[in-house]
Amino acid sequence: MNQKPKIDFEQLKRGGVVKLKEKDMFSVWVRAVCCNMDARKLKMVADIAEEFGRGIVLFTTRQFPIIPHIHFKDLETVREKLKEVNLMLDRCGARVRSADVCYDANICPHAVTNPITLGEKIDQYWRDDPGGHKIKISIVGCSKQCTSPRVLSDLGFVGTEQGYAAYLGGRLGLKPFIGIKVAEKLSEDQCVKLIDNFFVFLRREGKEGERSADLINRLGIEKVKAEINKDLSAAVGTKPYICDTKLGEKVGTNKVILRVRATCGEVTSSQTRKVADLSEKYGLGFVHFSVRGTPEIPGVSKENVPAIAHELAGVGLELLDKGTDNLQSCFGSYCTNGIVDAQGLLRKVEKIIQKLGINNLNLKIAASGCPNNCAVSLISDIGFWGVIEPIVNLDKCTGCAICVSACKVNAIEIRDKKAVIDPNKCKGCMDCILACPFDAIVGGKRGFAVSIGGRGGFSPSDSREGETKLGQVIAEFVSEEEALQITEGRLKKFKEEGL
Amino acid sequence: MESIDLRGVSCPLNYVKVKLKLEELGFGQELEILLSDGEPIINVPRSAKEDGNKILEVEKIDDYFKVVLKKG
Repeated sequence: MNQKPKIDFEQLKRGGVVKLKEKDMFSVWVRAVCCNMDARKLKMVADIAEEFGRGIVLFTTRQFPIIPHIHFKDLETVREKLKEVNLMLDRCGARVRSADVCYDANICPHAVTNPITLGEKIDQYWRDDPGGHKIKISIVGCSKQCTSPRVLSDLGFVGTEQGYAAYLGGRLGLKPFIGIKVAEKLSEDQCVKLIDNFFVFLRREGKEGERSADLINRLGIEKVKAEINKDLSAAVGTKPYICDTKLGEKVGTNKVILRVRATCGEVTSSQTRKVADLSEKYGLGFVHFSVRGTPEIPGVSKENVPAIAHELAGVGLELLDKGTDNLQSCFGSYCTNGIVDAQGLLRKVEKIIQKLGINNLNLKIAASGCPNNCAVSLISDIGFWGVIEPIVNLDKCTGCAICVSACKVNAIEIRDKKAVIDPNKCKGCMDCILACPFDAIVGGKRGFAVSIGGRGGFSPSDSREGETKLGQVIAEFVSEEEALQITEGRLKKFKEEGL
Repeated sequence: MESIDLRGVSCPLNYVKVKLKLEELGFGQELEILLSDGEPIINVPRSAKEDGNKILEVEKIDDYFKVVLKKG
């Protein structure tokens, strides 16, 4: 008789574990408050990945670490191990997500507001969330918008000299939407009130699963804007959480932030421990996680950079320079939604970049396994994602309509008890194929989509003018070989002409 | 037939409850599950199928679904 696995149902209600392709395997999402994690905690994440996973830690676009390949029966043990160092599971699904922030104003010289202090004040929404709607929040301290708040979050706050500007509606995925400015010159407390207004409004007016962009599309921006701007001067009784990596004073002017290259966001346990060690030895004792999937070591003296680079090289890591930004992927090859091997493609793209010797462009390249675009391909200079064509087998279809519920772009309807898919609406995401319990929808052609010219805002080492914009799709259903040929052509052009 | 009502139970808890219920059943036994529309009906049958069980029947009733599966 098998021993019954120990499961804490109250914990599972909060999410934070995501099923992977392989039977009984899950990934565990670890919460990083203010997108930082102190060295001791990060080493525990590395240890867990080694003991219970496969020795790999993933750094993701949502700016926290994921431990993939945890067996169902080990989930509770892993959660207890995390708890030992005061870590907990993050949230997934239709829930309030942990707020994403760039850097503490005491670290980043560009910041005109302090994202950390606003982040602390809104933490209670994560803690008290009853679930039901996916709500993402990002805060940035200046107009460079390193974390792409206008498109990666429902509510994006952008620091200006006069306070925060607020943007509503941002998301990527199957129905991308660039956030619309709904307020400006906000104090931190006014931002909190605006968030509170939005939550109350969404929970009152929102239909099941609706996000901010859906509300805007259904009710019109003016109505939503008026609702969330009500009584902004009224105080919300916040219970601030004190972020343990917040600094009390500015780091010196000779200090820099070191970005570690982590292609596909994948770092081994021993590499992760080394990054944590280096943050203790040379930095501020914690590591920051960026949108492009890099672990970053802030507060390092310039004169120590060569020594750090040397130590990193010892474990097979290197610093990111201006050559290209981190090549970012989702966990496409083992995600249940993965249509193509996003990581495999990027590793080949990396070889092309090396071959061409591109070393002076801040080029952003990303690959997602499916059109849900978790790797932010659409706001990258070159972006890839997997697509698949669904075909209905009429003999097997029972007209049960699960596919109608599963399709996020309303491309399917039931006619005469059979599913009918509108190819003009279909985005090729595979949701219907996976959801069909009778294998009545199967994959036809599959391949990569390629986009160019996406922008997620400014970046620190980038003087190009530009707004947040979505990439333009230049190819669909191409093979990996064709995608690489297109990429090589574009890279050569970038090398000659610049971005 | 064993039955489990998971209406109003969110992911991934609903599927974990299905898994625990299935542990109590023998190979080939059937289980009826009631699931809410939205994420639960999309995810739970899919995960059950991926774990080797067979979905025998899906029926939409008002705002929820009845699913019958056979343990594999």
